[in-house]
Amino acid sequence: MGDPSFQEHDFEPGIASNGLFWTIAISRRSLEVDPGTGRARLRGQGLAVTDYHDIINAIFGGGPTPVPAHVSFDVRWSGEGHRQRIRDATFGFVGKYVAGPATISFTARDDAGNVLFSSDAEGQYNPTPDQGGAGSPAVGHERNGVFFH
Amino acid sequence: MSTGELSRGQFLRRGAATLGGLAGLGLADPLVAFAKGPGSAMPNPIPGGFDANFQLVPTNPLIHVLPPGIGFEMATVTDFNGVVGASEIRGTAHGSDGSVWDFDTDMRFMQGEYVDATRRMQHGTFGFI
Repeated sequence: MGDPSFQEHDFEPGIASNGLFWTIAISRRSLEVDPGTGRARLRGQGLAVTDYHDIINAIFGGGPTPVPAHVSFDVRWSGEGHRQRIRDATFGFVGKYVAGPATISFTARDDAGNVLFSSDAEGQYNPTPDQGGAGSPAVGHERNGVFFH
Repeated sequence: MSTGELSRGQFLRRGAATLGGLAGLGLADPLVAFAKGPGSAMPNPIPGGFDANFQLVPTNPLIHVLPPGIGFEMATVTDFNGVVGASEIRGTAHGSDGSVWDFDTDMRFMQGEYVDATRRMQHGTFGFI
C-alpha cells in the first residue's frame, strides 16, 4: 500500500463493531465468477460509503472528520495464471487459487464535494512484494474456521 | 492538471460499498447494513490480521484482514466455505477539476456458505471494498 502520510481520500464502508473489516453484504448479481479459470467481475454502482481521508484515520480516528461519499466500480480478474494450493495451519485456512492480473474502473465523489475522481485505464498494475504490494491477485476457493480441517 | 499535487505523491485509496439495500445509507457501522441488507446475516471476522505494529498475527489482531495476494487468507469472513477473489491494484486517477492522483485499491469478494454471528448456517455474497 502507498504511504498513507500522502493520502487524502479513503473510501470504504467502515469497520463493524464486531471487527468485520470493510466487508458488506452485496447482491449476488453484482458478482460473476468462474473459479475454474480464475476469471471474475465485481461491480457496484452509486454506492454509499465514507471517505475517512486516510487509512490511519479510518482505523485510529483523531484525524479529519469522515464524510459521506458515493462510489461506483468495476473490477475484473483475468485469471488463467498459475494454480496454487495452500494449507496454512497457523492462520487456519485452506485454499486453491488461480492467479492472474486484475484491473479496476471506478469513480468516487464526496457527497459535499464537487470533484468526481475517475480511474485511468492505462498504467494499472498489481504491485509485487518487492514494490510493497500484496503480489498476484487471484480467484479461488477457500475454507476457514469450522470448515478448516 | 495540477502537477504539484502529483509530485507530492498524493494517494487516492479506493474503497467502495455494495449494491442493493446499502445504497443511500450512512455506513457508520456496517452492522446496520447487515440488519437491512439483502438476506445476509452478520458474519464473524477472521481471527487473524495485523497487530498494532502492522505485523501479521493469527489471533487478537488490531484489524481483521490479511494482504490480498496468494499466500494469505483472502477471506475476511470466518467459518466460511466458498469462492473468493482478491486484488491490489495501483494506478492513476484524475479529478473533474483537472487534478491528478495516484490510487491503491484492495478489492475482494466472497460467496458461499458461512456460520453467522448467531451460529446459524447461511449463504451469502460479500464485497470487501
